[in-house]
Amino acid sequence: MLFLPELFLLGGSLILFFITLGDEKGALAKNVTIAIGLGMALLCYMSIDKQGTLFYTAYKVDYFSQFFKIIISLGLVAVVILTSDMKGINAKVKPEYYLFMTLSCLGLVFLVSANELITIFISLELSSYALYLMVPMRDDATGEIKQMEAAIKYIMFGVLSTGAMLFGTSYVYGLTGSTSLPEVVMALSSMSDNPISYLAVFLILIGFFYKLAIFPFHFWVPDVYEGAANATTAFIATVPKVGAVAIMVKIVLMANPNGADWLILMLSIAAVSSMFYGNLSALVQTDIKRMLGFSGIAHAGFILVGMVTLDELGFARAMYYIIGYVLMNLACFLVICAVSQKGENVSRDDLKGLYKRAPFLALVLLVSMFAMAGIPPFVGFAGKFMLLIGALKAGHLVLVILAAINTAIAIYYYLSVVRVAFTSDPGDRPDVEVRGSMWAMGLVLMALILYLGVAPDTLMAITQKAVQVVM
Amino acid sequence: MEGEFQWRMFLKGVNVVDMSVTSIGDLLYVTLFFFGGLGFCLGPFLAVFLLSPKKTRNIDNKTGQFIECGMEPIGSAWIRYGVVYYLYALMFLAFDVDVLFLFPVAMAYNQGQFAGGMRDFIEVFIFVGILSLALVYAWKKGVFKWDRKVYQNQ
Repeated sequence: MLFLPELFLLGGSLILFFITLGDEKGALAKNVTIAIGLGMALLCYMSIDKQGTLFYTAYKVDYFSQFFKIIISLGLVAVVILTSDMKGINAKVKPEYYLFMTLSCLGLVFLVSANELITIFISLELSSYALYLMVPMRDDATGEIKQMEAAIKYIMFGVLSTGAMLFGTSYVYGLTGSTSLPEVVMALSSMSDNPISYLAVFLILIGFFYKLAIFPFHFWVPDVYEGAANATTAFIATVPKVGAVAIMVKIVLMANPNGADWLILMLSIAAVSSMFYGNLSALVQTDIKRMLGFSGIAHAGFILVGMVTLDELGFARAMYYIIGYVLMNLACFLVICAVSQKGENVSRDDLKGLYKRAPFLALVLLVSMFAMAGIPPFVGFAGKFMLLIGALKAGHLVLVILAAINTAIAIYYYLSVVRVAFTSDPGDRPDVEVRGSMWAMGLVLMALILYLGVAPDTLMAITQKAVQVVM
Repeated sequence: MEGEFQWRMFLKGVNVVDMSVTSIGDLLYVTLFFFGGLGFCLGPFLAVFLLSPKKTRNIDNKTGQFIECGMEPIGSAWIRYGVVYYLYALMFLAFDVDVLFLFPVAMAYNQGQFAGGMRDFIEVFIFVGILSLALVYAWKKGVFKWDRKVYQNQ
């Protein structure tokens, strides 16, 4: 019964599909989605120590995959709860929206278990197509008409990176005669002096660079973040990135252990350019979601700093960082979704005087912004600190210096959001209503951000154990 | 197999001296097909250039028209037209792709490890059943009702 969690998710998606056949079943679909996510997390937790391969070794269940499946399904639940009334999503297509969100998670769940290049490709596409469809589902009642443009851009860049990834896959198959990851890793490690193998791994990585928004493949980010509804952006910005990091660890391992210099160089360049591009562009943004998009590019660069070391600890730290990033981002989107009255975008000025209009939300915003800026004792600080220490010990001094400079740049725009929320006058902006689910969600997220920041050992032990399984 | 070996040797930078006669023959075929394909692309242009009438009443000074069919076009091309037919076409496509996936199944159905047994039949049935849900969805959402869709807010 290794496949039980996936079967559960598949069955749940089928139920959601039949819900979409009815009219105006948005609330029902929401509850079903939450139940699916929680059930999935529970099933994965129960099978966390099981191991085995399925479907002629194309699919591998182990500690690594089950751990990520728990994170992905809990991420789904969190996004659904914190955007619970789905302002800004067309009421007619709400059940379909939840269906696509679940299907996207299904794709990611398959992705973290995939043990074969074609399986990786198909599950990546399953998760991406659902996201492409979620972007244009925004309601145009608030006068926002950017969603179509955003959706087209998202698809076009997606197709491009998919093409590059398939091209790389074809090279890998041509070189090794196999698409199964363990066989590919064995065959490639014996031909590491072969330039085509570098190119092949690089091309496959492009597919995940796109998902994670690393510098040369980031062009979709600002427009999609701004054009998609708040709920959609909250999802795109968090859950898929976890899956991308998980599979990037596996792909980067493909190029190990010989001839790693080119990979380190490539990852370092991508990391530094992402950080500088993201942070410098974020300085001038007024739309909060757009700012978070650019900050996401910078954070993706930071995750690469962990991968650069190419060792177990580095990957574990990168995984720790992405989980922390998801928590900080979710906390921030909780505030965005609450402050947005009818589902419109939130600019920095809309947060004016938030400490008077909704003190609790202002606190959540404060914690998430401090965490993203990397101020102790929050999770962002612990993550950045560990990543930089790791890179420094591995001898990447220049990279560490540039990353530290970027942390300083980033503080400006994160803290200026806090400044607007706490020191300016609310004017005639209305109070923000905070419902029970938001209180609960906000408290949980703040507690996790604080706990993981103060005691990173617990999560680090888990991520290290997960990485050991795949190495 | 031999071709694959040479390809690998080539990738590894090993100079394959033994360019056997067959591989040169292969190259000739590839070249031939290349020029054949090129001919199919460029040939029509050449034929049109040579054969078309250039100075008749219907052709002369009509380059700016959006459609050159011999008739004077009436009105603008920027009009709205019923989208109903295209939805039908899309649904046909969904159905068509179902059939496409069945070809590999049909090829392998009676062979080796897949031969016989109720299990394969049920698996194919589930597969086609799930793909057909697209049609169920379209049916329920009224795609197959042929009436003109009127959009108020556009």
